[in-house]
Amino acid sequence: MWREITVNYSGIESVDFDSLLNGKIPAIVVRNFYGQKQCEGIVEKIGNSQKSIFQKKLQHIGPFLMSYTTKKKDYFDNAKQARKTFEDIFSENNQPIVKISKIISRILPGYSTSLARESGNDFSPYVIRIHGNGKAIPIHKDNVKYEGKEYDFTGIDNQLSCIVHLQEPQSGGEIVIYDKQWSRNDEKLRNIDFGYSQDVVSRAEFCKISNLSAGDLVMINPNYYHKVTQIEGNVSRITLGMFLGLYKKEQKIVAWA
Amino acid sequence: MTDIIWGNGSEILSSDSFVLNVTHRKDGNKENYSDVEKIKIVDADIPGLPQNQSDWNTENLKSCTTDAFLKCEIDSRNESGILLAKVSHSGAGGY
Repeated sequence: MWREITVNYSGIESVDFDSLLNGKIPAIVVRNFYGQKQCEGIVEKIGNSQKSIFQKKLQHIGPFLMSYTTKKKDYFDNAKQARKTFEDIFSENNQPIVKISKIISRILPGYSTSLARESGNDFSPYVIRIHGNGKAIPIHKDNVKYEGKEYDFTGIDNQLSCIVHLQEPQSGGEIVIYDKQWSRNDEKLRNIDFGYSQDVVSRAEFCKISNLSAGDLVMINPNYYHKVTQIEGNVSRITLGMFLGLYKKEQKIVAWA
Repeated sequence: MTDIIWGNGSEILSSDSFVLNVTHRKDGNKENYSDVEKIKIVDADIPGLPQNQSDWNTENLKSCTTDAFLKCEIDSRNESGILLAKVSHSGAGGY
């Protein structure tokens, strides 16, 4: 069975990481990446932070690269602004990238972890998504080498997605990962606005991660098709997303959103 | 309102024109569009395609449009039947 593995913050091992990169498992769930109280404090600060409305329906904090595929200057300008907001939301030692770099240094000794930079510009480290009742995320993949080709990620060997769950909805909002990787030929099955037809994963095995709590970190290989089920109830699903790009030869990892 | 069609890029015809395999049509389009249309780009917003049109060639147009899912906002159809359109990479915006 293609199932996620669940570990605690200090329990993740390099073999788990290899299994994720190789597609042997769909996800790693790291319990209590943040504590419950920490999440409540972070969510309160998010509530007081300025948000942007994306595509007239979704609340975000911070830009994410895929919505700026041909607008690099706008992306980097907004990323600069967003970093100040993230510094207000997270104390220095609680920055997600700092906590993730501690995991990386343990399981991949010798690797450095840093925020991605290009021509003197820092990328946005995160995007915070606040999705309310009725929202869902369609089947899609994330592949920066395909859709972010104007940005300098051509050398990465692997892309991983990290999603920190800061507030869980009453119902729904579950991550479903399909055991099928994107290929260029699948573009024939695209939906107009975003994502793909369900046909793209027909007959593919899938894994549904249902029992997440606030504070959990989920790591996936985002080139595998994935979606988020419809959120139900008055409590919004609040997540923080970031990508990691692995350069094996250089033994470095860069982060961006 | 502008007519819009979507589809996947196919054969490259020149440094600024290509064949589109049409998969979607906007409800309310004024004109009819076949399943295969020739497109001449009058404006572009496509990742990887140089902003300056003088830098376009068949190679970079091919790498950016072949198989890619593209949105074509139709300006007009010329006397040869080719659609003049603003072409953009569609739906990469995420959630």
